[in-house]
Amino acid sequence: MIEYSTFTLNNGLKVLVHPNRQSNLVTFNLLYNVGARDENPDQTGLAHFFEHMMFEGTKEVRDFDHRLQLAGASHNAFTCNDYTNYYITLPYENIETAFWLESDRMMHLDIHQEKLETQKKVVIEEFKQRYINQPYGDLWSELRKLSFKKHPYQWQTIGKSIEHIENIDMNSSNSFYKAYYHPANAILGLSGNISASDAKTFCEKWFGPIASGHINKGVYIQEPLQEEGRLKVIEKEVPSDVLIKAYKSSGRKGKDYHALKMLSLLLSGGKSSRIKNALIDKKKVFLNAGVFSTGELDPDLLVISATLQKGISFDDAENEVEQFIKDIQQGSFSKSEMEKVINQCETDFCFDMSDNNHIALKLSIAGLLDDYSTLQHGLQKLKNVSHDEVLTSAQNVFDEKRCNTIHYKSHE
Amino acid sequence: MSTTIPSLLTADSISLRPLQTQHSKNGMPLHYVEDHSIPICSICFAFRAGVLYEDQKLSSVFSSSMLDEGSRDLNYDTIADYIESFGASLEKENSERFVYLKLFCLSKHANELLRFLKKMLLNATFPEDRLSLKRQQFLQSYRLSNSKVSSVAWKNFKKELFGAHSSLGYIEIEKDYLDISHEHLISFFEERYLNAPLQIFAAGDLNKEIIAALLDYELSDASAKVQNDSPLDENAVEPTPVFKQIAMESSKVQSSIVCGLPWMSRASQEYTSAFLLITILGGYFGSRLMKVVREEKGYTYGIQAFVRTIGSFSYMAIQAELDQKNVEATLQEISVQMEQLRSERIDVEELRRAKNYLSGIYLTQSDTVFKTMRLYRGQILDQLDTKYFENQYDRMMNCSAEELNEVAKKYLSPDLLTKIVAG
Repeated sequence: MIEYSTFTLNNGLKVLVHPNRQSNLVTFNLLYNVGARDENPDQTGLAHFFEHMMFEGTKEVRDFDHRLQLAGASHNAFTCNDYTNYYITLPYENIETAFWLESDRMMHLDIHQEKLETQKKVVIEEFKQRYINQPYGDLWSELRKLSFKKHPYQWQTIGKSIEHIENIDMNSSNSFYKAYYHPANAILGLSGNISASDAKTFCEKWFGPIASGHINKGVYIQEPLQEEGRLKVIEKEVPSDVLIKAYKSSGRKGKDYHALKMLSLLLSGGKSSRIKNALIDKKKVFLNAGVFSTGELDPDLLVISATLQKGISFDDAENEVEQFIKDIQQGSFSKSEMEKVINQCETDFCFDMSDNNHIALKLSIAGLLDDYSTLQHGLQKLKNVSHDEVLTSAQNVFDEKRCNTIHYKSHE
Repeated sequence: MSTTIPSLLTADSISLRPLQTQHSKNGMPLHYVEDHSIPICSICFAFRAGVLYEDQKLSSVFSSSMLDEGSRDLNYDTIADYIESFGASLEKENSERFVYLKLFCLSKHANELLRFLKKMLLNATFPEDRLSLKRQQFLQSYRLSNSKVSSVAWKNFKKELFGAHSSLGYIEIEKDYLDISHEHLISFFEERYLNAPLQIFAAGDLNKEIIAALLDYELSDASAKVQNDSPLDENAVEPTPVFKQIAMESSKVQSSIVCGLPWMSRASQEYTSAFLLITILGGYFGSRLMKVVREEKGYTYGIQAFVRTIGSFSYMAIQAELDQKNVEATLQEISVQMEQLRSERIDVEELRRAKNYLSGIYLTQSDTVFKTMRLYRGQILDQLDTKYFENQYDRMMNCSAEELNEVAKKYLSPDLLTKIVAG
């Protein structure tokens, strides 16, 4: 259980605090309820681009990084499909600097044409570095396009294309800032050497005067029920064939979230997991394989990702995966396998508890979901999942009609 | 809204959690740091089995990855299942000099796991069928890395810096993966894991039974241990001022730049100021290279300068991935920034910024018992004083602009850079 206290300012800023007196540091994790799913399909990449602009200074503080570094802070940010997250870790004596600077850029960001043009170049280089100039770099964007036809999860946070980044202008940036960057649309998670009362004092002092705004309700075009399986074949100069099978899943808010989490850990958590044991070690179909959720709030994907052994065809690989799934759907896993997963989660939980960054992000996400039960009883919820519930979730999720498959072929 | 800027504090000194050391009856050291507020522990076995000790290419990485792949009475899946049923995990880390085998577990299971692990290690078999699978997995990673500009640039940089035939500069070929055999692994394991001096580093909730079990962990009789334990070619290298371009068919969009120089030992009096100097050049978001190459010109998503230590020597390197049309201008900018550090003293505010930033990094690196143990491990294995980190903090905070300028003049010469561009 993660101990925490929570309060909400009059302007809507939600705050969660986990005091850890043993630490010399505090992590200040400010999450904005806006991500790539909030973008216009014709102007994608804006949420991530805007994350870059948030470091470009305000009218009062020209150099955000400089001020933080003087305070001994390390800081960064990331954008995902559902939210944008900014985090700062600094010595606890200097924590007020984080309150000052984050409240200042929430209010007074100076969106300047010259800086905007430079950041466009930087983000375009990021696009090339991560998604064009890497082997399999386009795999995940192709998977999203294939899997989602209506929902905005159909594009990656970097954006659909370089052209979309080139088209970002002052107007779109200003509108985005006004719409989403305000206290009612943000959740602050604090973990480290800070008391709840100090956190409240600093919050009221620095964030209290900021005007509220509209909460992002998060209403998106829902993905219609997929009626038949889809296949995309990509052929490129890559070293090995890769098979992806992505099944429509219920997402972070789904009722079967914990059962699906148990299922994916059962299938690929650790060296003794099912998929490694069956398809890598025994049948020697794959060199590497994993099963994981894309981890989004709306209905998302449960992905089987595997690198094929040389000499194994995609048909062979698909047949083996089909048989592997069938075994699971017939309940071939035991209670002791489930206990092993619980034990692994318990150890991971204990190690994670000494990591302020991890805890602070967890607090912010609980605030975003408006569900604090995972903080209070996360492990217990997993322990409560029954064999039957995992079986049902496996029978539901592994449906070939709702599967999106990629054959990424090496033409070497 | 208040506009009073919050005041700042910077720690005058840093104090690590205390290190304890005991020795087994044969003299094997066990170093540990306790924290009983958490129910977990990590135990790291440091074997002198890094690449510097290889007489057959790839022995280090293959042997470490296969330590838990089979034992006389236990096959790979029994081993994995046993360890993971306790919620524990086993990780391996390879450095140039060491192989680290790390156990993470709940302390209540540590004794049982340690007994199991010892039996597994003493009877390790490196079975042929598992070697065959590992070979395919490593070959796949090798081919993947050969299609990445950053990996190709790195490999060629080390080749030029250390020499094509040295352990550190050698670029492996597919044949090396095919040549490694069960016999090589058994021989390397016996020599470097069983019969070379072992050191153990533990952290977390450690009770008397765990300490006792670890003190009884020697894997062979001390009399059989290798006496001459120097790595094969751990010698300081001379600068190699070359510029090479590696053409890659697969890369049409970006190139990777890696350039650098041999640097001094961590034990050197100048190391701390030299480390601070490299931080100012390109070691953090506020560095000169990030400011000019990324934030002003938008040439790259990131450019970093850093120091990599290998035992008694080190090297500094600068790395970036960027559009091919900006390569020349970026290389030029790297030279300009290095020259400026040599010709002009660093401004007081810039120096304060870098020091304060690093003071936070020092605190972060020592904030938990596990991070603290990692710091001690590095110091002990590099034969540094166990107060090194704390003393380095003091030295860093007291470093003057004059000292940095002197170090820059002495070492930071753009004319001596080894420069590689792949893409």
